Amino acid sequence: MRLALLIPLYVVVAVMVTYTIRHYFFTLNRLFGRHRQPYVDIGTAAWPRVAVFVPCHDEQKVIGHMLDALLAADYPADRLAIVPIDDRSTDATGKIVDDYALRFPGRITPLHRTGGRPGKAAALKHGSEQAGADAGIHLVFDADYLPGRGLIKQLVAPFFDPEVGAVMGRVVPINVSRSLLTRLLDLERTGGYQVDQQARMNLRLIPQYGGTVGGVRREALLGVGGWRDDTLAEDTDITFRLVLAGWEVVYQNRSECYEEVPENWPSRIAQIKRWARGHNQSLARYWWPLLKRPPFVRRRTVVDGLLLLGVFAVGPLLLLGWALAMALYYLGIQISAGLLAILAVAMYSTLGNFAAFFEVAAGARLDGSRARLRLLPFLIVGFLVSIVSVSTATLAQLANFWRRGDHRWEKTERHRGPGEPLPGRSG
Amino acid sequence: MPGSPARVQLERARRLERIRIRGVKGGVIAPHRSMVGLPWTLWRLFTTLLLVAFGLGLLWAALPWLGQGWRLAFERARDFLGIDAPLGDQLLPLPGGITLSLPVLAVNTPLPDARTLWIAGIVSAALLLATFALPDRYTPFKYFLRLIAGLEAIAIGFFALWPGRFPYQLQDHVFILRTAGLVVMALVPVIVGFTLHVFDLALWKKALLTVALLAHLAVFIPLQVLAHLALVMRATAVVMPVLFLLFGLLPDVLIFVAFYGWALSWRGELERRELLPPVHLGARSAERRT
Amino acid sequence: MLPFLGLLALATAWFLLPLVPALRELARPTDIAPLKVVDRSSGYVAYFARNFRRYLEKQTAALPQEQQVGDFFGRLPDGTQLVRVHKAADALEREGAHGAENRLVVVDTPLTLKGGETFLMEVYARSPLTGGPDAVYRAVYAEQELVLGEGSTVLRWAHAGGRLSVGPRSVLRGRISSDAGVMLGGGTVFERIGAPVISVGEPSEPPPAPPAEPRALKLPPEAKRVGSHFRIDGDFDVPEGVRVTTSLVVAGRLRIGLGAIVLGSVKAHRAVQLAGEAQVRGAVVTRTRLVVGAGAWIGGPAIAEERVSLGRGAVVGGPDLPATVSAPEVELAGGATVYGQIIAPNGARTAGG
Repeated sequence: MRLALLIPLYVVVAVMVTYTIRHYFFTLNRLFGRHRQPYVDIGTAAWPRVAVFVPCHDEQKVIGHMLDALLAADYPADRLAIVPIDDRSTDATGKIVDDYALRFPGRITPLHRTGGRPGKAAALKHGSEQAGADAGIHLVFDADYLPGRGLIKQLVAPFFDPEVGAVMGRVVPINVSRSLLTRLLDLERTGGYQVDQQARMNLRLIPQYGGTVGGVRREALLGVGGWRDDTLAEDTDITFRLVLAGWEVVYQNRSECYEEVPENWPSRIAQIKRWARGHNQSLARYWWPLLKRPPFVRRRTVVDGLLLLGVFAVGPLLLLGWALAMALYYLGIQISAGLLAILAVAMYSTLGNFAAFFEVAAGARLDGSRARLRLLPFLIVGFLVSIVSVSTATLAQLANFWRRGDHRWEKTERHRGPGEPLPGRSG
Repeated sequence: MPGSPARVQLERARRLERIRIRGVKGGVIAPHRSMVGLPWTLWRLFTTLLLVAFGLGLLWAALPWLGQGWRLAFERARDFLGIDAPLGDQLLPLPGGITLSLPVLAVNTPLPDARTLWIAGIVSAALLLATFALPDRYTPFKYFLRLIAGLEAIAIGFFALWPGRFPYQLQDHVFILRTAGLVVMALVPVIVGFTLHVFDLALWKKALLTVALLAHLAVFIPLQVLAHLALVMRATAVVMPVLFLLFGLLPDVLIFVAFYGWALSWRGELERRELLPPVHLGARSAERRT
Repeated sequence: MLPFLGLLALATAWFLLPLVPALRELARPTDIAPLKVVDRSSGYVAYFARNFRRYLEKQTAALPQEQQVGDFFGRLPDGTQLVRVHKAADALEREGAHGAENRLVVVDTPLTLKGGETFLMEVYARSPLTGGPDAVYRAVYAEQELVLGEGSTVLRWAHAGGRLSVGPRSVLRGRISSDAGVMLGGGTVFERIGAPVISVGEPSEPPPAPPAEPRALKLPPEAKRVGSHFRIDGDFDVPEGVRVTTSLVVAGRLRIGLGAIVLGSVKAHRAVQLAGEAQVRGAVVTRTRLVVGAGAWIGGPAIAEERVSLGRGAVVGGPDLPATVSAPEVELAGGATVYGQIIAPNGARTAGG
């Protein structure tokens, strides 16, 4: 009985230690290592044709701002197609995009979906099949994002590299000041992008395409079968399909774009559950193909890919660890203080990427935002909610394993109003 | 040589560099945050190791005083709380053949009777129900209270089903907690070394942080242990599991993270001296990789 | 009961003490603004120059009418000291005799400077400006031609509406741009230049189409198709005088032989070397070094994560095919020409000088 509890506990602790070492290594690399952003300085080129897809469902509050921002991009207008995909919106989203199409004919070509599977993945699948055939690059933005004028060129630049299949930029929360939650999520994004993603780029591991503020090469997308509409995390899904097929996914830290993070806990819980389910789906699909190490994929890419796939499985695993620790406690079996300390330290992480507190700290200092690091102890607050949400989502997912489940539009609640002024941006 | 052409040229170059990195309003124009890193020098490595050794050495040297201080705290607390129990010693063997003498109060462990279990159950249930009345903005607090209620329910169940089988005495709880606290204290200089000293804070700030953190834990751990002891004596052993699991190591780590976050909010040397952070692009020594 | 509560209170208070900074930051935030997302400046070389011009126009327009033309020694509305040189072309010399020029200088008349000046504020020239040797400019904007003398130093940026000629052994920090073209002298060091044509000495033209199509190269059997490119593990040499019709990704080192043509783009995980007269119509990307032989041509961006070396007469891009050369370090031999931008954060250097 003792071994039946101790061994799994040691396994859990070993996983925690592995992730901690990984994130420590990423932090050191980001702080002191050689920095890779080879494409960001390409400012002059014969720019290829690009289609920017904006899947949306009931986005009347924000879609106008998004389209204005895309129209203001300094990308050659005759090479940029903007394709809002209105998926059965019940509000004025459809009307708004049609108005824009009338005002900017040839530049904005909306698609309206009235049937088929709902959800962002299905909308992208439909969109990429119906539009953008003459565009070599498909970029994707969520409707509530605010791309800067130079962002499109920055995101397209990596595709001059024939090996690049997908690119991801950095998301920057705009509504940081709203609540403790938004401030914690800002720290989470900082650790995740400024340190984690950039370190993976530096080390030539797998930076993840995140579904927005990024894009894919159309021929790569078609080569791996296009967007899948049976996934909740089309971003993780396409990342691994591209990597397994021999394409490179790159991250550009410089390519920043504002986003709205959830401002209340129910929204955050819904978001993290969605991410967990989608990510776990990808874990189930791609862990074995990755482990078989197809050609072009290096060993360290396999290892890090598996760790990346397992990021949302860590939460339930940690809960299991605490449950085992508790069981051992009641059995009178003493666990070393060191093991308990590891489990305790793991609670001060962010769950979106399992970034440890020092990773978040490094990111914030590099950003020049050191004062907000005083909030670090509150990470446990967000982690507690996340770990419960992710675990319940995972359990529900396992319970529904034999049911494909209904897909529907799941998105973060929007708070920015249609008339709300945009933040000042330099430039 | 003062005034030599090379020196004059160097001064001129430095002056021009100061002009170059300053905007028209006088502020330093730094590279974009996406590009910057930190400088890494042998001096930084040396001072990191030195500070780790300093912290460990300080703790090692302070152990006798630590033991005495904790003994004094226990004496005072015993008198203050009116606990009628002798104060003894528990010996903790440490690496290097040293033994640390820790104070122990020889109190009996009050086990819960049926009435206590009922009261604990009602309180836990009330706590759980109360969480459903809290608004959404208190969600983390709700989860935390539910966690307490859930863990307490398990403890109640254990004591109800196996009343004589609870494996810990109060002295065991105190000892484990104190030992775990000492382990955390011993880890502080090392973890701070790996995660804080790598940054460009001034040497004295790093040393101060290590000392402050160790000092704080040195005071907190006996207070924590005494508080647990007092709570168990009032509420019986039915609260011991919750105290151990939620209020044992987690607060110690929270204290560490709080100090850590506070320290990293301090101004770094690069900023103070208005130097530009480095951008680590393209290894110059990469000729070998052709 | 009271002693018990007192102990609890003391333990709690001591526990909360290190959380005071966190609680203060929560209750009274000092760092709560979103990060400032910089919009445009990264890719647009003349960003600061154009901003300066707009600033100066606005400030000048706010001056009293009689102060808007002719010689002027005074202040702009925002307090910046200004000297405008119109007829009094020796005005600068008079002021400069005391040391560095710390006023914003506007030059209304074609002017040739003696050399050795240090301009701590911007210089704006409405007419052609010829700088003297060993001058230091914080920044200079010329609406027409601009000549920087030998050994000049630019600290922040320089822009010319006409051609910008840079004398040998100059140091150009920051952004250098021209709406016509930039010609660099030997031994010049710079960081970033953007112009329709950038050359070391007189520019070279992209090569004409070959008189006959070279024979197509049959790729080795181990080459694997990934999308529209072929991937080759290990090193690969494209023989002389052949034509490759697809893009290539090479996991090792890539050599493109004399006169060979690649119609697509190429990427190598190690070094890329283009022999003389070789051509790549698309982009060239390497994780290490790119060496471009004499007279070779690259149509698209040339990206290296360590260094790019452009040989004598090597060309990147074309008059209708703008391109970027981007690497931490760049070396350019005489006649090397780039139509577009050269970005070298660790420094680019022209040969000679």
